[in-house]
Amino acid sequence: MNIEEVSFQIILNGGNARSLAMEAIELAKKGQFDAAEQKIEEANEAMSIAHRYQTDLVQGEARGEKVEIRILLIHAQDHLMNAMTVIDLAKEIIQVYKKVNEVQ
Amino acid sequence: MKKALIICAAGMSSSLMAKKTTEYFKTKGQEIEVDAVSANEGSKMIENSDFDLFLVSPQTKMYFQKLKEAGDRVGKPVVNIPPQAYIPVPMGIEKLAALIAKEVE
Repeated sequence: MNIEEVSFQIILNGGNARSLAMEAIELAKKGQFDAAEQKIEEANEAMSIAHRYQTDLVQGEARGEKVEIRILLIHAQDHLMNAMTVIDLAKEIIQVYKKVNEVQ
Repeated sequence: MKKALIICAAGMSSSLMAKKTTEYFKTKGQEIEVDAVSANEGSKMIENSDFDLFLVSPQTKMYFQKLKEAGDRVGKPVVNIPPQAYIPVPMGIEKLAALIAKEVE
């Protein structure tokens, strides 16, 4: 797999994880907490796939393999970090909606 | 000449897919050009441009609804790209080209 393909896999799966986390927030907003937790699970799975591609690159470099650094790859890692942040915050936001729901 | 526009987060991965897909159409002798733009310019491009078709990349499908509404306002098609048609290898490019060709017919 060349660096373009690896970058795209990270972008696709990272982007997918982020979309799923946003969907989870929407569900929590509607009070559907089980469905929201389910979406977070799915987001975590997509994240794992994206992460595996990145880990392979990092480990390859550690083994002394030359990794071609492209803007596309840096961009892919932006997607990945972004998705991680959104998932972390989505989990917190779901908890907040739960509390609001209890109070109401 | 038909024109399709791919919308993605930063317009970066879509630029690569657009370039490769345009080249593919050239080799096939099909008169279709593909270009790319970032999501925050997506709605504006849908409402004021001469593109015939708008495609939303898989990693920005969370914006699909908003972009689709913009498309409906001007009566132009906005479609999601499936993940398997968004990989910069010959098979992915062929799938994307087939999707575009079908939509602009």
